[in-house]
Amino acid sequence: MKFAKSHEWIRVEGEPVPGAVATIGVSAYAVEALTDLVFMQLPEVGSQVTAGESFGEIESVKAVSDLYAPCSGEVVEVHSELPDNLDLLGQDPYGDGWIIKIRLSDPSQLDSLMDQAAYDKVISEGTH
Amino acid sequence: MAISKEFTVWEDLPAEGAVNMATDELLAEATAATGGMAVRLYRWSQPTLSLGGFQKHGDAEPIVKQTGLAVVRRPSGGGAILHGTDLTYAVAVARGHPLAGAPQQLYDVFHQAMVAVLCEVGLSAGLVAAAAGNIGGSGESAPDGPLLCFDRRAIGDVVVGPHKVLGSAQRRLSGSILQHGSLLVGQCDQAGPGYTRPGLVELAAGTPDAEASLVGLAALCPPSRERAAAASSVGLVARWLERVAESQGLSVHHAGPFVNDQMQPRVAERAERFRSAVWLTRR
Repeated sequence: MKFAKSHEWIRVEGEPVPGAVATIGVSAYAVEALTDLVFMQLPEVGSQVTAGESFGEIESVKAVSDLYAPCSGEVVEVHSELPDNLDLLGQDPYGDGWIIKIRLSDPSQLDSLMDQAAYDKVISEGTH
Repeated sequence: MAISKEFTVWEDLPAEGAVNMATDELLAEATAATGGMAVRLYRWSQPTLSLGGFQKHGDAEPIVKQTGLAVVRRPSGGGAILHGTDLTYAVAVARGHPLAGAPQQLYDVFHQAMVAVLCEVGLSAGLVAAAAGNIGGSGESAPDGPLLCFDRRAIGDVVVGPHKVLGSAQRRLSGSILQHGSLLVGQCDQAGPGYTRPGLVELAAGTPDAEASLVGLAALCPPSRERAAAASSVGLVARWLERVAESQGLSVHHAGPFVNDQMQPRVAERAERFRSAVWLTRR
């Protein structure tokens, strides 16, 4: 699993090759920091997401945050139950709280993301 | 990036809703590039209802049809604001700034400072301790809660007695945090009797120090296209900004208008997005 500075995670199923499917979600830290999530807007299956650009939005009590794609690709699956059950994000952010799955177009983008240890360090240093 | 020790205060002339929202986004982008913390104080050229980022446009139609108010959708969350007699602020801090962590941090800095100033002038101000007690609605500030921000109660909102006088909401962007807030200066009558809420002017009546601190502010807030004196120099607002700066170990720097001649074309271009039906009716 790799992490973006903007607190999204991505996990590739199998080898990270072009066309591989990767799951994207948001980190436990981000979910906890946002508190009380109330609304979520997700992309449609078949749409393209671009690394570093917004693919959706999430609203907590009085704060709207963009969700940024860690890597580029085509959306192949959306966790459609999530907007009606936002508690899943807090209960199981790395499992049942997944948000979208994409077909990677450029797996080399994974190299610029952080591993768990590096992400934990960023969080602990408060430099995010 | 070294964080500036200045708290930059910008203040622009009254403008229409789309221009105000565009300017705030550009302020957030500029702050992302320069670091630090900057606030923009502004007013509105016409009475306007600003919707929260995910509020349903249809929910606002009755009040808009009834009143003819202009409508704009903010990039930030929260409830709708009737900009008729309020002073609006937009503060931006860069990602990496100490106040860019949990959302409540930035709310608290501005709201606690306002509570302190209001208490100094004799008003019984405080922060909402629990997100309960919305007026005529659910117990949380969801986009489908009460339409108006001032009918909602979220943790940290500023109240005088039972009346909310300052609420804020954020947009958390990749490079910065943009926080909008509205200080209800006077009772807004422009949307009809069902939507009037007492503002600071009404709540300060009979409290001499409070009344004195508001001198000049009420006259500045009704929507107008005319040039007007700076709200940041009015007693209560000036003390509020000083308090915010002191709490962060910063000094206030009054920088004048954010929208200068160079910035104008960028604001005009960005405002088109906020005028578009796609944005306005996105939900």
